[in-house]
Amino acid sequence: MKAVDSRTWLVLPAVLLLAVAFLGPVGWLLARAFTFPEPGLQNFAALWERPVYLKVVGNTLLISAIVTPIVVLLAFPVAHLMAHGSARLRRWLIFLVLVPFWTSLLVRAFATAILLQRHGLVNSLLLALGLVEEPLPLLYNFGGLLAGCVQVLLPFVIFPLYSSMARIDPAYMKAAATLGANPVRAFVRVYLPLTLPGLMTGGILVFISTLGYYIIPALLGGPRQQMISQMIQDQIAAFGNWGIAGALSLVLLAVTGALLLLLQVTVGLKEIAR
Amino acid sequence: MRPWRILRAILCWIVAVWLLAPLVVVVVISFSSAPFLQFPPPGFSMRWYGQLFSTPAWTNSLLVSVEIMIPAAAFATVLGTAASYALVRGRIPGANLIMACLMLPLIVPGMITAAALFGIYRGLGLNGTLTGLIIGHTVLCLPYVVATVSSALRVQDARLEQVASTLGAPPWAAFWHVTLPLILPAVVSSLLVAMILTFDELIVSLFVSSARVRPVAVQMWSNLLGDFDPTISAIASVCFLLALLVLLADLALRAGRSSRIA
Amino acid sequence: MSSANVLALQGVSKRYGTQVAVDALDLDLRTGEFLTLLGPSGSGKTTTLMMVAGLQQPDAGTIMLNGASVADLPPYRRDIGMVFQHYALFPHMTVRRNVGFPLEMRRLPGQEITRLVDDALELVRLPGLGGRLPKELSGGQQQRVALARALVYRPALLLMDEPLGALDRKLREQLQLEIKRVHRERHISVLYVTHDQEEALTMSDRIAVFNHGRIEQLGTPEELYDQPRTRFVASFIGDTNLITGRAVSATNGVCEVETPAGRLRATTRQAVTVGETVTVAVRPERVSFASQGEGLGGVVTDVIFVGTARKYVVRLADGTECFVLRQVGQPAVGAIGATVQLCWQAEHASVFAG
Repeated sequence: MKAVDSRTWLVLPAVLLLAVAFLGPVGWLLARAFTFPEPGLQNFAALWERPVYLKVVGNTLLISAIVTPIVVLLAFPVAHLMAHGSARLRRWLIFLVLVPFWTSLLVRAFATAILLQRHGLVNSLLLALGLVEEPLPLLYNFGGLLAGCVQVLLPFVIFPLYSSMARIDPAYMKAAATLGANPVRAFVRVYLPLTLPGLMTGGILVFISTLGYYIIPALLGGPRQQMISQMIQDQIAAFGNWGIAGALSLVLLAVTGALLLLLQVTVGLKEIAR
Repeated sequence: MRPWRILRAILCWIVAVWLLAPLVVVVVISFSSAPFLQFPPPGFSMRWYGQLFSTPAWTNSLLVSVEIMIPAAAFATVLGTAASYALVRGRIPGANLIMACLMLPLIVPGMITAAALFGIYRGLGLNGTLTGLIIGHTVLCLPYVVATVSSALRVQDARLEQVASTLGAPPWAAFWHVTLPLILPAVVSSLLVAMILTFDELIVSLFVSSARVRPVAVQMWSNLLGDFDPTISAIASVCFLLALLVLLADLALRAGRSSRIA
Repeated sequence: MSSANVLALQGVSKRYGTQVAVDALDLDLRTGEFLTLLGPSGSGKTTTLMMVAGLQQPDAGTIMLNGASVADLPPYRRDIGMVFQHYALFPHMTVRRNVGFPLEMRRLPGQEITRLVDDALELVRLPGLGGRLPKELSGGQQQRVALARALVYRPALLLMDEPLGALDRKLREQLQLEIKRVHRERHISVLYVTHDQEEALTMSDRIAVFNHGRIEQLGTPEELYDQPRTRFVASFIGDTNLITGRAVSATNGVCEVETPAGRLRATTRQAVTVGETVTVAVRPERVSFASQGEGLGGVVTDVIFVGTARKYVVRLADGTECFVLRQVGQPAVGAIGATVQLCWQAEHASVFAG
């Protein structure tokens, strides 16, 4: 039909822009892994052999693996309250979570840093309460990194989790109760599995996000928490080593891709968290 | 269930504080009279805001941010809306694949996009230019626009355009008079999101900007790596306020959207 | 005669994959006629309508509107108006703007538009509602606005796709009369689609009964009701009794059928071979109670009072249930349990093969 044909062209500008300003450059960067400074696989060999690279990759995976369950665990009660509390409470909670969600990463990381300084609010409180005698080093270490990641990533889990929970028919829990399950068992055997799509979506989103983070580790973490993105930046800015940068990018993308595949297979990628 | 309720309440409070306290502190400190980041602040003063709007480095960067924000958000919205319309209403083979590709800038870690653009721009002389930044930001905003607008298009009744067709409307008239007014909230919403996104964008900007062409986020970053100076908290508060305003506008739009089609 | 036909379909076919939706259809619609496409869902009637509208393309055949082929014309260039089942009013436009939309598309001057819109709203008896939004209107009102909108520019042909399907019964009956009135006043040609046979009988000049993509019979409501040509038509339209038996003789258009409950006669509508199994269709109101010895024997199992008549449920010797509709004015026949004989006149019954 004529109408259909003419509309097809509308997709072109966006696709062209995408191809030229995104797919092309990223492809180029990934190709550098195989072509800079000479064609071959030596960049990947270097990644494997040189401990500094391996360490950073391993570190990144480890940090993501630690951050993810913590964020998910903290998100759970909030999502639960959102799903099962009163409508008014829900509106407030949603607003509460949306506000930081919309604020820039940089501002939130910076704000967290202020709180965690030696003379920042957290330490002042701890000193005032007599819990410690000296201010704790909460910044430029794993603690700071963790605090920042949690701050930033909580909304990413709360919303999909809430979404899952809101869809659970209360009839299920009532049925479980009438069938003789005590609250704990009903929760573990009935409720929890039903929240699985939300859990998986949120969990995987957090893991993927953490993997690729730059600002938070740079601002809040210490040298021992250096993550892949920082290393990529380093390699390019300090050493002009596009080959290693490309190789690291490829590794990062591969892991991200694999996780998304996992998400698609288990939950289905119709999740666009709006 | 009581112990669970108590535990839940405690955890929720912890989360609430964790999420909001940093932002509140930043805003409060921005009004501090002390030259370092002390909380609670010793006195009230607007000097950091004054400093913010009188230092050329900051005012220039604000200007640059606006100069990027308007074209980038506009392009992303127009291109994204057109693409969404074609993908959802047209019958393009592989529409799902194309849609997935358009989401890629969202999924690929920012550092990779940044490094890639930086590398390509070197050959094209686009580093340190507004054009380079605008192109990069447009690409980054595209997925949000496509996601929002295509979602609104799917919810809308596709038959309305058919109806318009039987009443004598050619395709573009059907779009203009029937579809566009109905998806307008989504389009405006994604425009707002795009604006906020480019304003906050740091990683691509870090690579592509120069000393003279430098958006606010990069200016903040270079400041942060030096010393924490309360001017930063002033600009951070401004960013936060902006985000709040856009969020409220978006919520108002959504409320309007749902009441339209009762 | 083609100049008197506003619509002519020839050999029109459409398939979806391996499924045939419409099979080599021939159909003519005379100017000013109200023609209904009637059939169960999936029978091809809506697909046919969509092809006439231009919202779907036929795989084969021609469609002529006022003598000209519409093959390369998209919907917005065909001289049609269409009313859909779910109102499809533009939610963001007032009634006035909705109705005026097609006139806007045709670039008529503002004053002209106002005049025609007022006219159209008068026609559907909604003169004061111009400033309302669709969501402020009831279902019946919305459908009337849709009708006004489809007629305001006086198209050659009005297409209606089960427009009353979403309304409740009383409203439906009301609007059926409205639509008929508008049809009479404006002498429009209407192609109407419905699955409700009562609706079709009430409103149409002619009905085309669809089954599996083909027209089984095309005729006036009376023709379809009294002289169904296939078993499908007989059972789809109105209530029918279906009795199976064996054809014993077939002469002069009358067939004698032997059943376990007795012998009966009916008019042949299709070719029937002696000795084969046949089905006899007869309307409940055409069945009478006979004196002993004649017709089919059976036992009354239930008597239902339906206001103007009584419905007798009679079980025949072979177990088939037969319904007899007898006006209340006539004397009552027998109570439950009574043995009765049923008979009818041959021209009121039809016999079909199989």
